[in-house]
This record gives sequence, structure tokens and C-alpha cells, in this order.
Amino acid sequence: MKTAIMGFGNPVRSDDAIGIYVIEQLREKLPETERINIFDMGTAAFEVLFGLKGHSKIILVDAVLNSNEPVGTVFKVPAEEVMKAPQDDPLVFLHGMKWDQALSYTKKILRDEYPEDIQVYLVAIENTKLEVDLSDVVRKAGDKVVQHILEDLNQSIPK
Amino acid sequence: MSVKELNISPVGRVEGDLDVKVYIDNGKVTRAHTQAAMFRGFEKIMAGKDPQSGLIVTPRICGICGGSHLYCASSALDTAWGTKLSPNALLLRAIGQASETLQSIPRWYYAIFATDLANKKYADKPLYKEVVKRWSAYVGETFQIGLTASGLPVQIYALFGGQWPHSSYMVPGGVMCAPTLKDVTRAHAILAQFKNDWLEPVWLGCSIERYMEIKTWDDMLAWVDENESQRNSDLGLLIRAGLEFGLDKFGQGVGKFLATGTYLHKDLYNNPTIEGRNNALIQSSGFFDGENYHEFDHMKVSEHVKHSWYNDQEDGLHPWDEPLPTPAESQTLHDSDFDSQYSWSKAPRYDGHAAEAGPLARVIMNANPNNKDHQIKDPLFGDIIKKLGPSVFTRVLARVHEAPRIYKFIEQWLSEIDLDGEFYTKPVEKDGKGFGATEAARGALAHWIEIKDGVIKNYQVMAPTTWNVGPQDGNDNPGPIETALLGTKIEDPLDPVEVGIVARSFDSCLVCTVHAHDAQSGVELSRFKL
Repeated sequence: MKTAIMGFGNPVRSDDAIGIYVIEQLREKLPETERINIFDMGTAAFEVLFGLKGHSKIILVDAVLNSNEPVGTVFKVPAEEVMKAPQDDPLVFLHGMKWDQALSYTKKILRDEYPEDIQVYLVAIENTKLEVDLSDVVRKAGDKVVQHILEDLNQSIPK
Repeated sequence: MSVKELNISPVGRVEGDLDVKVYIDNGKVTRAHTQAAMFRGFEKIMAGKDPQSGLIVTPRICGICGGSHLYCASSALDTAWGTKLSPNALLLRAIGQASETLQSIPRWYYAIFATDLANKKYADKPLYKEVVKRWSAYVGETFQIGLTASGLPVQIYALFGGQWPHSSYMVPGGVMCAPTLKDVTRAHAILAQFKNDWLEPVWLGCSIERYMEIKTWDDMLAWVDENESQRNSDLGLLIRAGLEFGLDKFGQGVGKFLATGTYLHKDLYNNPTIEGRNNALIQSSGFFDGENYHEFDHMKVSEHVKHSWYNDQEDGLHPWDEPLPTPAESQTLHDSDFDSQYSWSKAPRYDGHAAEAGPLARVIMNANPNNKDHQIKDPLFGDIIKKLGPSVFTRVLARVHEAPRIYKFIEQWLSEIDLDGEFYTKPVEKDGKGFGATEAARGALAHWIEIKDGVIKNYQVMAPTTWNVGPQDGNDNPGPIETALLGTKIEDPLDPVEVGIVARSFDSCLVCTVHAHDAQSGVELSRFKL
């Protein structure tokens, strides 16, 4: 049973970096173990395809815009929700892929090896200016996500 | 805390958007404009900050070629500070750059380019069935093999760089890693898997060594017909189908090429200077004007903004003299006046000329008879340019042609690492100007830096896509993609797939939307995303 935790976002686009902030916190808080791999996915959604391989549990963390909820709201979404309308456009584009597209792509390629357990945490944000600072409200939301993931891992990974 | 559940779509992160607007008259493109639709102001983040900010910020400009930005950012500081670089440092940087570029070849070919050849436009061609069988998205016989193999080279990058994408392991003075024999052995194994899974059996149908014997276009055609295995390989099929589908007949471009070159030789750049860079390159730099080769001089690079949304600079400034990018008022595509400002991209020029950057520019430089013994000497594309000229076909062939050579380089460089040697020499920080460049998968990439009072005063990034998608310059001369689209024959104005194929052959790093209009009435005929 191997778990992959993937953080998405751009650390130089203000609050867009929340996914990266969360995995950095987890790197400090989680013990080094063969069973958990933490990935800084940055803005390369396509790499999901290669990160998923060999893991049975996947946790994705990302920012979300235009959610109609206040900035800092945390969403926990099962991946199949996100993939309800999978982007089946065969014209993929390396420079503009989203990880939901990458997941649907991966499903087609990995078939039986595609992990069943995929959990997505999203944090509502607004500010994606070219800056390197997180806002307090978004950082606090990130800390909540860290707690949730730690609890989730405690429950699902036998000691 | 309550955790809400709802159906939501994640953030789409694009390196930017490109709108291509073409006017079609009597089945031909008569006007073409490229509009970069997003302001990219990464340089602004760095102003007033620590000189090494570029090492952290610029690899985040792009989720595809962050390693290339890192190569430039560290090199720019090397020249500004006058650092010392050990052979190991130069080898490990070259291995990183080469791994990133190698990854991009199968990934781009299968996921981006080859699927276009399965377009119904070519349904009446004899080889169409075979193309669809092999290269259709997801289900093609070799599509998945190629795509899966593309994940391997960056595993090598991650061994030395800690992660891919967005590593910061290259620093002024060397690299922040000290690989062990285990890492090098592992890298060799990953490389061998790439060769055995895809490069030799699927792509070439022969050994790398046999393929690298090809020196002329006639050799290449003879290679295709030499045996069934080569004829039926994916490269064999690309050459046969490319010619059968007429990809050699359109998308010429400006016919002038620029390469900043890359892979600094382990023994020739230990004291980095801007002046010494050309000589230290393994993949040579240069400017080819269609007839003659010229030595690359970064001082001949300038940017024009007559047609770009920047108001605070004149045309033709060298990057060191340009201000940090400050956006002017922009318009939507619909409201853009193409006689005035119409793009967020500036228009880079070399010695006043628009020039194409990319793999084709690189392989043309490889054919430069003046290349030195430590530089790549490969006459093939000198011959192909003479016999076929530039085109969609030539551009695609150039990109895939690089894979075997890069493979051999990584193999060689891995074996040259001295595990007991130095990897990093701490530099002395000082004020000054620096220039660093490389060849990203998509072409010439360069960073210019000016450090004053211990912080960044000016930082300028010029990316290959800027060279290719840039708008008209101060003299209203169009950029490479704009030029390449002019005169393109469009079979079906409601599905101008040819426009897409031209744009994709340049592999711009912006998500591209094509808007086709009737030249007479101005009515939009079709719109599609690439």
C-alpha cells in the first residue's frame, strides 16, 4: 500500500502556491517512509501520469478559483466528482493541461493499474498576482488541509 | 471545521494563451496575426531582490522546461560573478538539460503532433490507415509506448536535481548535489530502458549507431528503404507519411534561424565569461541567414515593441537596456487594431531580422562547416535545407532527429563524472551584468541580469516562443509563425487544420486558439483550440 501526495501550484503566483505550501508542511511533519511519496508537481499536470504509477492511494492538493465561496474555504472532493465531465479532447496541450484532464488521460493509459482511491483537497483563492507571499487566510486554510491529510493517513495507514 | 463537498473544476494553469488570427481568400491564408493574450511579468518579481532569485523564480515560468530556465539563470550569475565551474558541475548541468529535452521529443511527437496526422483531411491518403492505427490519441499502437517512455529521461534529471519539474539544483559556481555510484548506475539503467522500450525498436527500427551514419537527405531516404524494420519504424512512417501528406510543401517561415547553443564543455568553461561561451559550446550557437552562417553575438539581440502592449521603451533595445515589463492598455482579439499594438509578446530580432528558434535552428547550426572538433558536426540538415527547404516536415524531422544524439551524449557524460571530484565552488558575489543561455526543447532561451548594490536591478528573459510567436517589428515585418502561415493552402475553410499543423510544428509554449476569417467579408469561419 503506497500513498502519493501531490501538491500543485506556482510558488511565484501568490495564493496559487497553496498546494506546494501544504506538501512542504507535510514533508516536515511526516516521517520518512517508503510508503508515502510526496510530489511537488508545480505546474506540470502531465506528470500525474508518471506519479500515480505504483500507488494505491492518491491525495491531490490544489487551489481553486471562482468557487463562489469565500477565499480560504476548503473543499474535499472525491476525484470521480472532478472527473464527472472528463476532458476527452484528444488535442491535449502540454502547456495547458489541468490535472483532471491528466487523470482522465491516465485512466485510459494505466487501465487496471489506475488507483481507486483518489482524494482531492482544494482551497478557494483569488489572488494569483506575480508575487511570492501567501495571504494569511489561505495559509490558515492550508494548515487545515495539512491536519486533514495527517488524520486521513493515520486512519488509513497501519502503523 | 466543516469540509464542504461539491463538484468543482481545478485551476487551469497555462503558460499563456496564443490567438492566431488568419484571413482566408480563395483557399489561401492572405493575412496572419499572432496575439499572445497574457502578460508575463516574472521579471518584475525579481527586481530589488537577492541576485539568486532567478534560480527560484524562473524555473516556475514553465511547467515543461523549468530546467532550461535554471540552466540560464545559473549561467547568467556565473558570468556576472566570474565563478569557477568544475568539470563535474558542467557535466551535471548538461545532463539535466539533455534529459529535459530528450523527454520532450516523444512526448511532443505523440501527444501533440502525430495526432494531427490522424485528421480526416488525410483520409484519402494510402498511409492514413497505418497512421491512425499507430498514432491515434490513447488507442494508437505506439502512442502509449512513446508517451510512457517520455517519463523516463526526467527520472534521470530528478536523480541529480532532486525533482522534476521545478528543481533549483544548478547554482552559480556549480550544482547542489553530489551523486554516488548508485545514482550514476541508476541513471544508466533508466537510459537503457528508454532505448530498449522505445528509441531503437519503436522509433528507429535500427541501432542508434546505424541511424547516426545518415549524413545527407539521400542517405535518409535510402535508410528508410534499407529494410522492413526501418521502413516500418515510427520514424520510417513519419518520413513516408510526411511526404505523402505534403507536409514538406507548407509552413516555410522566415528562412532565417537563430540558436544560442547549449551543453557547455566540461573542460572549456571552467572560468565562465560571456566572450568565452561560443567556443565552449558542444551544440554550437549561430545565426543562419538562409545562405551564410554568422557567429552568435548576444549584443545583436534586440526587442521591438511597436506592435506590443508596452509603452515605456523604444524599438530595438538590447535586453540590458530594456525596462522591466510594465503592461500598457490591451484589447481583446476582436477589438485589436493590427496596424497598432496587438500582442503581449515583444518582437525579438537578431541583427534586425526575425529568426526562427527551435530544433531546426539547432540542427542547421550542427551543419556549420566552422564547427570545432568538440562541437557537433552533422551535415544532414545543411543538405536538407538546400534540397527541401524549411517546412512543417523539415521542422518535425529536426526535432526527432535530436533524440539519438542526445541519448549518446547523456550516456557519455554520465561516464565522465568524477565521483571524487568537486561539484560546487562557492562564488564571491559582486555587482555587474550577466548573460546566460541554453537551448530549451523549443529553442533559444536566454536570461540577462544586472546586479546593482547587491540586488537585481534588471532581469530579462527571452524565450524561444517569443522569437517564434512575436508580432511584427518596428518596420512592420512579421514574426516567424505569422510568416509561416502566409500563403498556406486551406482545403476546408471551416476546418483549417493546416493552420493548426503549422502552429504546432513550432510547438509554441502557449495554448493556441486559431481563428479563421473570410478575407472578403471578415466573417469568422471557424475557431478551434490547438
